Amino acid sequence: MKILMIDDTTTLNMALKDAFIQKGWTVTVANTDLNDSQSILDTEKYADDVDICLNNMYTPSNTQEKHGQARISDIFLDKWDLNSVKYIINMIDMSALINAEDYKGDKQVRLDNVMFNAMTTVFNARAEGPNVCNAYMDRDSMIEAHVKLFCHVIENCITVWPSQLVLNKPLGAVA
Amino acid sequence: MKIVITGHKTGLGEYVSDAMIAQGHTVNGYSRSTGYDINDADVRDAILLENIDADVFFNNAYGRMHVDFDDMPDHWKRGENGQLKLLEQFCDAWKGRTDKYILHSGSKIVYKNIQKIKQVKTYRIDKMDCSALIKTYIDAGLGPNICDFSMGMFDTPMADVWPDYFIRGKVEDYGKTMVMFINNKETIWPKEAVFDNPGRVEFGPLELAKREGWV
Repeated sequence: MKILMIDDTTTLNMALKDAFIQKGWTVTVANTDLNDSQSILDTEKYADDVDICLNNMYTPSNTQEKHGQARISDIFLDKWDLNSVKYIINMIDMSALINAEDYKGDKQVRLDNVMFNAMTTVFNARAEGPNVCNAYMDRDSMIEAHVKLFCHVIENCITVWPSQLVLNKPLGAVA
Repeated sequence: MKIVITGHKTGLGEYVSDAMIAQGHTVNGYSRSTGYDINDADVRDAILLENIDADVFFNNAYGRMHVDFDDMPDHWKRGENGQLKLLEQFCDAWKGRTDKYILHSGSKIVYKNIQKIKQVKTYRIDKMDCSALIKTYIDAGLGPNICDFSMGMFDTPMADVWPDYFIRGKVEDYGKTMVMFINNKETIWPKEAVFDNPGRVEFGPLELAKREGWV
């Protein structure tokens, strides 16, 4: 399995990278600067050599343009159009699923993620490849559990694939 | 842990039941073939009563066996959706219990716009009703923990009503993901999971419907 990770600097992303390597998978890290258009466009060069793009980094947009994570998704959706043996995992902030009036965090973060969610969900309604998984999550928590789950998903990607995962802490779990 | 499974004698229910027993857990299984038809209200009451102290309820069995109304026994035609009723009974009984978990066998069909295909209309509506009920309990945020696990098509007897050219996954591929969810339930619990066979179908539902003469 050849995996492209957009980032490997956060606690979760570092843990994922280590786990993937332990599984014997080939990991390439793009280290894309999501506020730099050229850096985003350059990420396309990895597309031919990997099976999976783990779109695992979000930074708020510093312009009026679509934010960087959404643009990465665009690039791979386009590059892998109709290719059913390619996979994209979009890690989407849970704020994408929260009503505006109930959300207490940064408005821009929520808006970016709502837009990203809408864009990729529309794609997911199609019947052609690539295979896209939208994983809604809090990226700063449940590190071990997230690692275990994503390893399972990737390990089984040839036979079964989640188009959508809403990953919560169980109710009542200690933070 | 103690797990209640409906439809434990075939397909996904059988796989999860066998896997959990092999891990040393207690499984209480209920299937039509062993005398438990979840479309019967008395049977549902008995299942709940016997398992109020369980940790996990795998709401797997779908009440109506055939999607064609004409072939249905009379009591199914009354509009009973046994899976929905049993789901509601467990949700009510476990209301406010954050230590209880319900894993619901849903269908990806709820995400598809194929309501014009009459053969699966009832099935789709039944599954949508379940998903809607689950959403109300999840939104309340009180417990129990519920996962609406929607799946694509795989090789169970229920899939026989579909044309051969539909891609079918294998029971064990879906089953092992469910087992993983149950085993990790105290650290991560997906409220919603949509799984399908990678590669998708070769053509869209409208084209499929035309080929089958359904529209």
